[in-house]
Amino acid sequence: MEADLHVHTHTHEAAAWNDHGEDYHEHPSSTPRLLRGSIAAGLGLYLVYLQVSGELGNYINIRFAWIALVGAAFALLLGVHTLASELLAHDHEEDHDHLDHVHQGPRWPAMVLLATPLALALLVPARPLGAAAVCGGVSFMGNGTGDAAAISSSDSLEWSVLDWLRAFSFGSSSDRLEGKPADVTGFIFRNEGDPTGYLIVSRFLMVHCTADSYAIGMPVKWTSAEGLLADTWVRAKGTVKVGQFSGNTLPIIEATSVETIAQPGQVYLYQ
Amino acid sequence: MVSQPYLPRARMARIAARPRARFGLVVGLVVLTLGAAIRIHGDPPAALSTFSTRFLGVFIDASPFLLLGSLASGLIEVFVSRTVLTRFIPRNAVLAAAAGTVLGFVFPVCECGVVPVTRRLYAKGLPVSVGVSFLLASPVMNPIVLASTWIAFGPGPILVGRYVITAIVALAVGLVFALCVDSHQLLRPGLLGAGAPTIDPKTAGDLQSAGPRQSLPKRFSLALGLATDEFFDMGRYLVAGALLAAAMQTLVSQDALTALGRGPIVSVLVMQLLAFVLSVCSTVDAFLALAFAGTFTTGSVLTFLTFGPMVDVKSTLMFMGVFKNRTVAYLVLLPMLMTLAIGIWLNLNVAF
Repeated sequence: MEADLHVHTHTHEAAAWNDHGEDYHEHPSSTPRLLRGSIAAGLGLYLVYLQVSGELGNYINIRFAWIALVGAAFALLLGVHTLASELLAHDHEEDHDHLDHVHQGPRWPAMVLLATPLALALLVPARPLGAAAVCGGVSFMGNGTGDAAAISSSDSLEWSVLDWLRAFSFGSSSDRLEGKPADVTGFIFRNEGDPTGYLIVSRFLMVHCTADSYAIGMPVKWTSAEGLLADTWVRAKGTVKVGQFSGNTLPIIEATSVETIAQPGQVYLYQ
Repeated sequence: MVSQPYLPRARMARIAARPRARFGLVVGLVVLTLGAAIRIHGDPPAALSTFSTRFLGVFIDASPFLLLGSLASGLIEVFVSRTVLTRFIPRNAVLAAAAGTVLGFVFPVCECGVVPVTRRLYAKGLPVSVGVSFLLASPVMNPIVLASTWIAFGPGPILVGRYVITAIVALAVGLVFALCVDSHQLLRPGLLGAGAPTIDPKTAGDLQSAGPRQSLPKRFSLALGLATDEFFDMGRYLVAGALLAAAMQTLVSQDALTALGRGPIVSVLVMQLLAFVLSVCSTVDAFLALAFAGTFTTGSVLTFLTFGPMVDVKSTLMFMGVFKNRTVAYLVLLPMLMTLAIGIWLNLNVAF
């Protein structure tokens, strides 16, 4: 059956077709096909691993975890099918129906590119976005899709950095925030030229995945701020005063305590 | 019937895409951006980690949709005879253009799969307007893209806008073609009828028309094989696009992006150029657009989401394999000008 797959061409596309014509006539070598199956299956396994280990939350909004599960199932299906049909083909060379080889032979560029996500996943330690990922400073704006009503609770002690910024951006009067108690967590970020005695408690805000994430932050006035390194996770308690910071009028936490904490399970804030 | 031409659509993409040159380009680009990232940050591990996290976020989110699209296209290729398609097309030019616009909901092909299918349809005497409308609309007008856009943006102006603008442009360009030319002037000589490359009728018969000769598991197996081809073929563009987007976010400061993305005209031009260059499959481009939605104008994001699926580097190369150069010029320029105008008009006149 091998000879069935002739390419008939009578157009001036002929040259282009002949470039690839050998794909039809040669029995594709099995190594690239095995590699391709392995990449697809590997992708599926990686997606499963992300679910099981909880690392998925580093990359996408966990509300959409099911998408990654669907992807895992399909990738495993394609990968296992490719591997199985290749391995079976060699076990039963006589019976093998070469129709299975109508599809393409090896494509090295495609394989290298599709292996890139796996290579990055294996070689670069998985880390959520942090202070080093802030490019050009954090935002002090509580903008986004929400309105003031989206604040999670009426008790300001439960407000996140995002809630504070929203309350400030959308609230009718910033005076309402003056003197309210605050208790926020986030990683430390510093801009060059920030006044001493201040640090910025920051969080990455995520809609869907790390592609749409950006950092927001809130200034915290703390006497021994200089002793804390950037990217350290902290919990800052104190009262809020509206004041000037780096030329902006912002809610500022005058901290009574800033304690170092472990990185929380849910790293990002979701809009 | 017996000489039903059969051709894996992914093969068209391969021929058009000249993989070696593009591969070199992509690798060069990635090395350059990574190098630049490390130089600028002065903290290589942190920069690489940020880059990797951003990249994997897009990829993990998007790859399930690419897999779904690949599976759908493999199943269509094996289980749907093309004669079924042509039977339901109206003969009236306007109705036909409208039919071409929504045909994609029945046959979910992305821009990678649509060119070979359209060529097939022309060979069977499909009206010009249907083919052009189908060509331009179906990468957006299909259930998979609807799902991914919905999940990325939710029901809102972006989702509605994407569909309305695509319908308007596809219909309009389809009608322009219907009124001005007949199909013999559109295609490269010899592509109507006998010239189109086919595989041996015997094999083609095995694959499509003579269903009983292939057992169901065999046909499923074939569909899965084609889906794998498609996934690897189209996955290249997703990976390259995601690498570029991640590099941009790692390197370019939020302020600079915002400055670029706030201009009502500049932002549209930038997004149009990005859509053209990135060539990301329409099933997943919504997730890339998310990366820009915060900083870029809504009009520009809509232009990205409507122009990209119709015309990009990849599809232009594929057009050139099928249509005459003049036709390709119109197929590229008309959607480009229309989506540009609509994007700018939206930015200037509509408050989102």
